[in-house]
Amino acid sequence: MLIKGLITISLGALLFSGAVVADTAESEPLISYTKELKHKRQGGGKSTDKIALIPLDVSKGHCALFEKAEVKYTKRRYGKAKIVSRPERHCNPKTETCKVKISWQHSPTGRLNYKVKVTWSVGHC
Amino acid sequence: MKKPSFKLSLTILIPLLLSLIFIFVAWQIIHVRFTPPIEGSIMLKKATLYSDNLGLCDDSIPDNLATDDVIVESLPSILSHCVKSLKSDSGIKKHAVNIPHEWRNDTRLSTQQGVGKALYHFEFPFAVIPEDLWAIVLPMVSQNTAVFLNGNLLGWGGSFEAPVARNASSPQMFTFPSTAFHQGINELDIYLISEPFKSGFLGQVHIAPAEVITPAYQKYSVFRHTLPLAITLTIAVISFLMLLLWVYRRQDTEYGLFALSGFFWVINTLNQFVIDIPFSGYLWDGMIYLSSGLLSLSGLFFIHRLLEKKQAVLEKSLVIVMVLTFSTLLILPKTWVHPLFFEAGHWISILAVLYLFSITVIHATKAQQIEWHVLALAIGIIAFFALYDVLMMMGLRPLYEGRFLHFGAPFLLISFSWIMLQRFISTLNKVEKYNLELEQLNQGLEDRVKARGEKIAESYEMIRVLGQERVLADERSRIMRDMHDGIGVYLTSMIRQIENNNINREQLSESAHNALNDLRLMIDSLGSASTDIPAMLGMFRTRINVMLTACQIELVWHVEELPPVKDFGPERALNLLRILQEAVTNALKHSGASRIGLSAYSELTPQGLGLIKVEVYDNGKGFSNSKSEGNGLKNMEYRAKKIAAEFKIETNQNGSRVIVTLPITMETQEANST
Repeated sequence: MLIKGLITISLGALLFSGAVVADTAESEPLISYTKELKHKRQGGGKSTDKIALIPLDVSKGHCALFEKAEVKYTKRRYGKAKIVSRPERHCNPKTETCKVKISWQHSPTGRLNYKVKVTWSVGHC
Repeated sequence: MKKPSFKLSLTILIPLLLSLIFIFVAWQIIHVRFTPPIEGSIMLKKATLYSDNLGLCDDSIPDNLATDDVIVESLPSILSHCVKSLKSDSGIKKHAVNIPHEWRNDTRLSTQQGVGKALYHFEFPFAVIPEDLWAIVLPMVSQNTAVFLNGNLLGWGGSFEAPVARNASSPQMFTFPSTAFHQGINELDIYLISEPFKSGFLGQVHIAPAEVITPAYQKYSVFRHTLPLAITLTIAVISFLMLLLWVYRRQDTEYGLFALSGFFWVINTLNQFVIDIPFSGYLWDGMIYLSSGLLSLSGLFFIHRLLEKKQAVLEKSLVIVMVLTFSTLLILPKTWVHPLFFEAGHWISILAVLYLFSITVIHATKAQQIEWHVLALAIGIIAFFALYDVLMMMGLRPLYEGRFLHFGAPFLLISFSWIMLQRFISTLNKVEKYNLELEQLNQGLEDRVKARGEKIAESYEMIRVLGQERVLADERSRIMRDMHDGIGVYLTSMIRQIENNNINREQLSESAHNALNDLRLMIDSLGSASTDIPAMLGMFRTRINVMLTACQIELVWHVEELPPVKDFGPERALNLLRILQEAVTNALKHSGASRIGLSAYSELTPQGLGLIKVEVYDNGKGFSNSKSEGNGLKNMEYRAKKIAAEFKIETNQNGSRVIVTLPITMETQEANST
C-alpha cells in the first residue's frame, strides 16, 4: 500500500514537472500594443516620440520580458516612422525603465497614426 | 369611387412628386462646389492684397512676344517684374484679406475703375519638403491669373493681351515639382487681372499633391466648363432641328420661336466656356446682355404660342421697350453700360421668367396634364437659377460660386421634349383614328358603288333585252314587209290566175320561180354572210350559175377583196341581192347576151371616200332608157336609195352595165347626201 502510494506520487510529480517544461517551450509569445500616436500638421512635420513600455500582467511568479518592437501604421499618408532606439532584450518594465524612441515625419497634407507592437517573453522575475 | 382618387393622384401627387424631384436636382446643382479631399489639401485663407493703384502692371501684354523675331522681354519676365514691383513699391496699397475675396465688397478698393489688377500674397510654412508632383488649384477666378511660388512662375491662365482670357468658368490648376517648395516659409503670389474691376474676385486657393487634387479638379472642370459646353451644343442641335421643322411647317410659329430662343440661349451661354473672346470685352458683354434680353423676349413669345395665349399688345410693347433699351447702348458712355445692364438687365430677364412661370402654372392647373406641369416646373427652375444669378449680381451671393442659369436648359428641354412627345403621340392616335374612319368610309363607298354597279348592270341587261326584242320585232316586221313586197306579190299573182281560172302556165311558172328565187334571196340575206359582201355574192353566184348554164350564157365573175361596210345588215343585203337579181334577170330576158358578168371592187374617191362598186354587165344589145323605164328599173333605183347606194345604168348597142355604188361608211354617205 505504501509502495503503491509512493509510485502514484512520483508519477504525479513527474507528470506535473513535464507540463511546466512544455509550457515554457510551446507557449505563444506575448504581444502588446502601445497607445496610438497621431501626427497631422498642415505644413508637414518631423520629430521623435518616446514611449515608456508598460509592464504586462502574466501569471503569478512570472514576468513579461521585452523581446522586440516594431511600428504598426494605422494611418499613413506621405509620412514614415522609424524606431531609433529600443530597450535591451529581456528588459523588465517592472524593475527598470524600458523606452522606445521613434523618429517620424510627414509631408504637408500628410498624416501619420501609428502604434508600437511589442513582443514579450515570460520569464521568472 | 376609384376615379376621383385617380384624378387626385394625377392632379396633385404627380405634380408634387415632379416638383420635389426638380427642386432636389436644382438644389443639388447650386450646391456643387470644388471639394478636394479634406485632409489631402491645404486651403489658404489669409493673404495680403497688393492693389495696382499706380498702374505698375500693363493692362495688356501682347501675345506675339513669344513669336517675335527679337524678344526684348518675355511674358514670364514681364509678369515677374510686375509682381516684384507690386510687392516692393511703397506707393502700392496693401492690406490683409480673407480668401475668397471679392473686390466689389472691399471698400479699400472702391476707388479703382476700368481694368483691375491685384496681387494676392500668401505665406505658409512647410516643415518638410514634400515629394512628387504638387498642384495649386484656383477653382474660380474672375478673369486671368498668373501664379508664382517662391518667386518662380508656375503658369498663367491664357492671353494677357486685351481682351484678356476669361476664366470665370474655367477652373485653373498649375502643377509643379515639389522641389519648388522651401523648407520653412513658402510664398505664393497670385496675380489677377479683371475687367471690369467690379467683377474681380479670387475664389478658394488650394494647394495639394497633384494625385490628390486632380480628380476633384477634373470633376469641377466638367461641371463648370464641359457640361455647359455639352448643354450648349445640345441646344444648338435641337434648335437647328426646330428651325428645320419650322421651315417645313411655317404655320407652327412656336417651333421657329423655339429655334430663335435656342439661338439666343447659345449666345448667352458662350460666356460660360469661351476663354479667348474674339473682340473687345465691351462688345462681348454687350452681345451677352443683348442675347439675354432677346432670349427673354423670344422665350416669352414662344411660351405664348405654345400655350396659345394671344398677348399682341404686351408683345408689341415689349419689343418697343427692348429696342429703346438697347438703343441706349449706342448712346451711353461705356462706363455706364456695365452698371446698367449688369444689374438692371438681369432683373428684366428674371421678371420675364417669373411672368412665364406664373402663366404656365395657371395653364397647367387648368389643363390638368402632366406635360404642362413639367413645363411649369422647368420654367420655375430656370426662374430659380435666374434669381440665384441675380442675387449674385447684387452681391447677396458670392461671385465665386459661379452662375447657374445655363443649367436650367436641360430642364426646359426635357419638358419641351415631353410636350413634343405628347403631340406626336396625339397626332399618331388621330391619324390612326382618321385612317380607321377613312377605311370605314371607303368600305361604305365601295359597297355603294357595288350596289350602283349591280343596278347599272341590271339596267344594261334590261336595255339589252329590250334592244334585242326591238331588233327581233324590227327584223320580224322587215321580213314580213319583204315577204309582202317580194314573195307575197308573186303568190298573189299566182292565186289570182288560179282563182280567175285564167291560168297561163308560163306566167305561173315564172311567178313560182320568182317566188322561189325571192325566198332564196331572203334566206341568203338572213344568213351569216349577209354582212360579208364577197361571201354573199359567192352565194348569189351559186344561185344564178345554174340558171345561166341552163341558158348557155357565160358567167364572168370578178370579185376582189372588199372591206366591210358599216351597218351592212340583212335588210341592205337583201335589197342589194334584189337589185343584182333584177339586173341579171333583165339581161337574161331582154338583152340576148351570150355573156353576163359581175364584178365587185373597192375604190377611193379624190375626196378620200371609200366606195364599193358592184357591176352587172352583159354583151347584149342594150336598151333604150325610155323604153326600159319600167317598174323593174324603178324598183332597182328605189332599192338602191333605200340602202343609201348610188344606182347607175350604162347601156348601148354593145351591152348594158348596172352599177351599184355603196359607201363604205354610212356617215360619210349621209354627210355627202346632206
